Amino acid sequence: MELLAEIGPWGAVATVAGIYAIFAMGLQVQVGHGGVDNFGQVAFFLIGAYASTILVEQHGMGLVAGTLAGMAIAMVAAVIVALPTLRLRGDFLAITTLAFGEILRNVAVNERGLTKGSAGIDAFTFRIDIVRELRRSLRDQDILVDRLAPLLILTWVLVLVVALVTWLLLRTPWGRVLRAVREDDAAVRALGKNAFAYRAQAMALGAAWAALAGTLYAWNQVHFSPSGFEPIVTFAGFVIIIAAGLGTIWGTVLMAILIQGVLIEGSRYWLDTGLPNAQEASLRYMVVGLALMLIVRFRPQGLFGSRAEMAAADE
Amino acid sequence: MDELAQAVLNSLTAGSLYALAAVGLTLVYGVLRLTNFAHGDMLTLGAYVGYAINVQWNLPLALAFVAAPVVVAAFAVGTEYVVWRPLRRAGAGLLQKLLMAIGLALFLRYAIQFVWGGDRDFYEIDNTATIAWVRDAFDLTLGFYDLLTIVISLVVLVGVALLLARTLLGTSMRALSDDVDLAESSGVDTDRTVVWTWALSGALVGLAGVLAGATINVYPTLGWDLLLTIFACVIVGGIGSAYGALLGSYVIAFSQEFLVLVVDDQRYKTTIGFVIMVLVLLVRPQGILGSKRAVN
Amino acid sequence: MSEPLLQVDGITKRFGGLTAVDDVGFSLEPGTITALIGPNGAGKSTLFHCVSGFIRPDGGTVRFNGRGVSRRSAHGRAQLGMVRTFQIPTAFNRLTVFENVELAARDQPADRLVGALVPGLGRLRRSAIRTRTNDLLETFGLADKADDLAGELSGGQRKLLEFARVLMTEPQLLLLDEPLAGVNPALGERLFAHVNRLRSDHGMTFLFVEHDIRTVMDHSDRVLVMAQGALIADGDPETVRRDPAVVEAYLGGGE
Ligand SMILES: Nc1ncnc2c1ncn2[C@@H]1O[C@H](COP(=O)(O)OP(=O)(O)OP(=O)(O)O)[C@@H](O)[C@H]1O
Ligand SMILES: [Mg+2]
Repeated sequence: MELLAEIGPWGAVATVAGIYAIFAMGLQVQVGHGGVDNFGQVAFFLIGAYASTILVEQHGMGLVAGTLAGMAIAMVAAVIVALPTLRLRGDFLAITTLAFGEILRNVAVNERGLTKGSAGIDAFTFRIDIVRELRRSLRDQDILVDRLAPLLILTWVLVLVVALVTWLLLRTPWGRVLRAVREDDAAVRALGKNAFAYRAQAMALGAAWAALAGTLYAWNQVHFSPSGFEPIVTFAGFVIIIAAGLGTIWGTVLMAILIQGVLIEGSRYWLDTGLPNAQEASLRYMVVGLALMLIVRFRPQGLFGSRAEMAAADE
Repeated sequence: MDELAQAVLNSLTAGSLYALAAVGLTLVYGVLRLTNFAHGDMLTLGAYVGYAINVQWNLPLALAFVAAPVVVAAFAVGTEYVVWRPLRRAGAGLLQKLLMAIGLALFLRYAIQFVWGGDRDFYEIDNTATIAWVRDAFDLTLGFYDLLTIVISLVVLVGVALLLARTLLGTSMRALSDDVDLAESSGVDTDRTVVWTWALSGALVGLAGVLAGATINVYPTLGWDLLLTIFACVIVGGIGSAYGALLGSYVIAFSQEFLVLVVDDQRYKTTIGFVIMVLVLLVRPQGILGSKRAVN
Repeated sequence: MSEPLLQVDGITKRFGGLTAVDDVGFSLEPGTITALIGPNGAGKSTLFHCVSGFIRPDGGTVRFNGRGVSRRSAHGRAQLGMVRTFQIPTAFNRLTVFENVELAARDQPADRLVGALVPGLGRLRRSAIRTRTNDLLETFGLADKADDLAGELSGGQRKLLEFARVLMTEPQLLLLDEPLAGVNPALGERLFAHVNRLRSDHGMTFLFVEHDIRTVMDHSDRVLVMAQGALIADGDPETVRRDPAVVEAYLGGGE
């Protein structure tokens, strides 16, 4: 029997798209629901990738424990970032969070003892230990699987879990207060609710999703370095949530597939410009930039959102 | 001792470069309340105009000191007509403006990379040339292009100061920064002032681009890598204030050069700038010279 | 004598050169309804902000229920039972009218992140809250708008919605900044009838800002008058009305 015996290039693309769906979901909680314009989401992606990898590969922690630890560290970091910055006005918040991401990337480059610097670091436990074992035991039962299939399946299961948990959480009274905070901070405080805490929690929840995505990224890359954590990662997340529409959950998943999957990762397979690779890559990101501009200008509510969402994003 | 004196020289060079870029960024913020994330990539554009002239067309780099400001100013004015004015008319909010600037920055950076490729390039100049008398008299290194940066920045920024203080355009710009409604009701031609603000901002950052190309080198993320430092300069000085940006540039440059001696790790220079910026934002968001109004 | 519910001393707030609130002190006894009047710009709203913790005064102290609250956050004071409304009514526009009121209830286990993560937590409490929400909407004539978005309400309805919302928190002291502005007179009467009932049934205490002198005369036990930041009169409505300083403030205030 064959079970995803050969997933091909599109399987790899789908894994990346799933990772970005989780990453963007975190941003959606922060920006779309908490009203926190976090331009440094990649920082938590980095924390998830490095923390889990260091704990698993160098300190022998289990994969699940390492992943959860990475998410927990990202949440703590998010609260620490939130404490001073959430009081800042919108564009200063954007600049400081952006700077936070860049500071962490700098640290990852420079603290070689911890991160091995720009040379990069290995995260092979999942691919080697788990996947190899799994394939071997399945082969004994005559089931063939691609070596990339387990992560593909795991990623998409997690996408569904993350989307569902997010969707359910936002429908609880907690999610309702969070939406109220985004609309009128003062009115919420006047009711005896700590508006600041809600924003910080949105920030932390979004950071946890980003860290989970970061861990999956590390497993998928097997070897990764600080250059994978440039601000463009955050901006790709913004393109996804804006194109989907602020506040939408399932739209975010769909847009992650279309933008990160089909457009950014996948276009090399369906689009033949005849240009050299490097130029084609530049062209892809020109299109991403242009798309962001066009959406913001002509359809700020995204494909699935309502115009009011975008307006309410501004306090 | 020598190390400290050298750090002073380095700070002056870096501060002069930052100032050219920072003043344009802060003027646009002041007049339009717009945080222009594409400012760094406009600097890169200036650097590549220098590259085209100096390397691809084999012309003297001196030409670039005229051409780059003109090209980048034209680009900046173009964005006003194509991007920013329509967006303002559509009543866009803060997040929309921020994302538009990010989109523009990405587009410009990758367009540059599309045209010129992703590698590091150098102007065909001797940027190891140093000023002999500084070396002989003080035993310090001051590159020719470092000195040029200091001098050009000084001359140009004095010119900008005069423009702001003495001309109708300068008065209009200051009036708009201060209070849009009041300025408009007292007859300031907003559209025209905004266009000239973009032109000035673009020209200054284009010039900074050529100088950065000469003193650092040319690569597609040159400006983006400098952008957060330039934001730091602007914010430390007080966003919206041209003199603040000038002061902030030297504050940041000096802090970077001297604190890096303390940390003893050159690679943390950029980080030092960010950290100072964050601290200033937390303690005094209006910066050293900024007005409270600009941040509320 | 028992301790007053609210004790305000020496509150001062300056904006640049302007002293918006100038050394204001007063106290409120439990179960009283007090009006705060004064010409535009007298500093009434600023005083509210200082008392409720929305801005930090330059000087002065606030005690509530016998405890100093000057250093408490705005939401901390509201949790103690001192709740305010805003002069420009606030509403969560993209929540329904029902949700606007419902979310204000205190002690909802699931409105905290940890509680929300536990499915089914607080279900009982939630149904009690629903009932109470419906009652309040009924009282303020908003029942048939329950499912509309709050953004669709008129200014007067928003005032009523805000009032319903703060009552949902079951406060001890309500600070109302111009609760009647934009509300039609019949509903205004209903609102004050309700205020009276809350006072007699629950011993609630009210301080409200109002410009309409008739409303003030009809509905308050006591009147505080501010002018140019300072408290210039304090007494029962009739006395205050005849106070020459008050007449002077209104006529000479260049309103
Ligand atoms: N944030 C602020 N910054 C500067 N001045 C302020 C600020 N808030 C209020 N003021 C000024 O303080 C004074 C008192 O204002 P306040 O709103 O407290 O008056 P008020 O009595 O509530 O007036 P009204 O009856 O019009 O509501 C006014 O002169 C006002 O302009
Ligand atoms: Mg008022």
